[in-house]
Amino acid sequence: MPPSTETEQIWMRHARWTAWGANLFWWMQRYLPLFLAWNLISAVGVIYARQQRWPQDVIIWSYIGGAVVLALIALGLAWKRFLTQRDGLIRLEEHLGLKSALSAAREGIIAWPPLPAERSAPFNFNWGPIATPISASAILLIVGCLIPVDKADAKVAITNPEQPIAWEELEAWVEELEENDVVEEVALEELKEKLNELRQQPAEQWFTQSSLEAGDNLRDQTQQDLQKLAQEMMNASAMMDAMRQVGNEPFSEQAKALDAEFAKSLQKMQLGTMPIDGELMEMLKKMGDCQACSGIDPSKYKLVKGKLDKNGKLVAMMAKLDPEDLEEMLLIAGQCMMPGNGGIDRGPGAAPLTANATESRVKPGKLEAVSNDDLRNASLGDTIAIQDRAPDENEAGEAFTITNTSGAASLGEGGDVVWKNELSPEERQLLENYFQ
Amino acid sequence: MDNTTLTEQTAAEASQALKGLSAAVNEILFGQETLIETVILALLAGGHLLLEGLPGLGKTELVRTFSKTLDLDTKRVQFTPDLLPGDITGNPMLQEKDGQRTFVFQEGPVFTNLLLADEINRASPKTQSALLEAMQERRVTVMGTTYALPFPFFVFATQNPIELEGTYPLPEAQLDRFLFKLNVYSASKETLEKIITARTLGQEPVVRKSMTGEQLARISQLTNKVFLPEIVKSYIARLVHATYPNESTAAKVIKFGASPRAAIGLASAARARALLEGRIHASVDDVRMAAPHVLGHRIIINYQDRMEGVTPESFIAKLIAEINPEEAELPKSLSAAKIK
Repeated sequence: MPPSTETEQIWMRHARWTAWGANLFWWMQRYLPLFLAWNLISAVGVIYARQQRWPQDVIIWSYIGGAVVLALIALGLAWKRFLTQRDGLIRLEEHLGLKSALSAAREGIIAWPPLPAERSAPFNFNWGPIATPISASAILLIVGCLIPVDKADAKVAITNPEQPIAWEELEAWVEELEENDVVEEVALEELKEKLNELRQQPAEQWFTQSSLEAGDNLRDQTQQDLQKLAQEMMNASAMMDAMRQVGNEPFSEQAKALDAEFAKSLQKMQLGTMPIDGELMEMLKKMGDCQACSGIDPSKYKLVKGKLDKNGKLVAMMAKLDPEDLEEMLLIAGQCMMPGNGGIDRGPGAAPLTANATESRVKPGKLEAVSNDDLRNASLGDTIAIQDRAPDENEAGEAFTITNTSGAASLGEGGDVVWKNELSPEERQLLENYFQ
Repeated sequence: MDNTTLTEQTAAEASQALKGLSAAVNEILFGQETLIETVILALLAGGHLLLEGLPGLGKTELVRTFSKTLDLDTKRVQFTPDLLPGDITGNPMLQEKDGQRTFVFQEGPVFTNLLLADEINRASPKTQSALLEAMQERRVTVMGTTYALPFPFFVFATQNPIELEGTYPLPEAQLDRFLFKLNVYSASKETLEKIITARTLGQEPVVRKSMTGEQLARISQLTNKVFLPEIVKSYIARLVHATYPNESTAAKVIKFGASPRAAIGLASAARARALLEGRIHASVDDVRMAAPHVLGHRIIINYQDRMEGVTPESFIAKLIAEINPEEAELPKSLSAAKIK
């Protein structure tokens, strides 16, 4: 048995631990409701932060910081309820059934009782009030971290959210156009001036109906101008390709037509409200005819063409051209320049065996491209595309048409005329079966 | 036995002697171990007892057995409605001596060590109140002259909870003078068998003497020297204070709480129990054990709650569960654990 003083020290130490144990639970009783509320807020905060693409470090440290502050507040709230060492001693003697022997020994009336052979917890634990908020908090956090969110698009950074959104967009466009040298600086200055005129109104009038309408009109007008420019740039790019193809016959009718079209396109780009950048215009002018275009250094051609395409795409995206419209535009531009593809100015020459390299959505039906790599056996009239589309209301059966190369379709003769053009698919099938 | 200092040895000796007393009484009264132990506590604490129970349960037998085994002078008064105060305290009698007539005080039955006041609630309040001074101050004043009662002096009163017609319930002041109010319950089947085997109608059982009155008085003096730790004092104070209306959750049913005399009685009872167990210090457990007997008859429960079935016993059980020995409360996630 340890000496009396040592026994006293051990008992007092046990009493201190007992008090601390109870105090820990007091603190948790105060802290856990705050912790649960904090986790609820944090879960919402995490979702928001993930949407806004905040750095993870910021999220984690904010969470920890808040939790620590709340822990300190809970400590302050629980402090006055804390058990002292004396309370711990009383709890121990109650637990061990010592009939106040420890209290009497502490007051020097009797000797310290011997230490128990086995230690046991002087409390019964009720885990419900502790486990519930902790598990609820964990679930909230997990939900906050794992729930799928739409991340905010940070491409157009709104620098000054206090001004109308149309102004913000115009400002962003001007910046972008300036940065990439897409249009003439004079035009941009004009646009800036108009924007400044709007800004010069008193701030309290910025959001009036008339001011907002003026801003929206300016934006819509600019957008339309940019769309036209984008269209012309795409057109010019496509014509450059065609000119390069017919460069071997510079004096042909087709080459002349292309030269004229290209010049017209350049003029449109130069004289529009949003004229193309002067430097690029000069370069384009140098390629102004088929002869020049075919004779130019391929690398230089590529450079000019690349810049034109790049700027064209940029302007198209800025002007919010619908991708389908853009695709259609490109397709039409490309097709119009191809010989054998219709149009009053189409030139002579064999039609290519394929309309397009990829499936197109320009027309309402589904147009699938087919190709024939065996050019030796190809001839005019070969099938170049199969179209499967919804039937018109006057048509019977499924509208399944076969597109032939332009100008090579034959109506047939005699009975052929009937089954080729006037019979429905069922009638045609019946007729074919009969003749077989 | 040294009656001036209390050591662990003297406490052990006292405990041994008291266990002998308990054993002697248990030889006569079967199945009443707890009641007998509580009566011994009352004797040690110098308090008076009020026994309540149906007729024939052995209340009077209990008192008579104690008086015989302790070799104390015992007197019995059967309280009736026509009993007068002088019938208890004594009366001045006119005597003629040497040609002179003088009043000579004739001592009443109260001048004894152990007074059995049988069916105390049948006497008129005037007669009941004649016992007040005797019980509290252990003296009697008749015609301006005060007479001290013998030491030790105990009043063991009985009352019947039925047949209440023509009875006078004890006033609160009178009840407060009793240290304990004990309920005597019916015997179990096994106890009845023992009684049938051991006793014959009309034959008085032979009671073994286990202790003298002087011995009891010495042990009783030792009781006052039992140490009351701070925690026990604090617990008694908080427990009694919690009986005041709205001072605790349990006390919502209380109209009037226990008096300071109850706190003093509780401390004495706790000391007595510690000595009975051979300890020189009282404990919280001693207080808990004595509390129902000390507080039960000193509180008044609201009429409505009484009608709803709240009893003093149920109230005190709730109170003990509510008041912790340590002043600090425990959080909801913890509750006190006790090794059995």
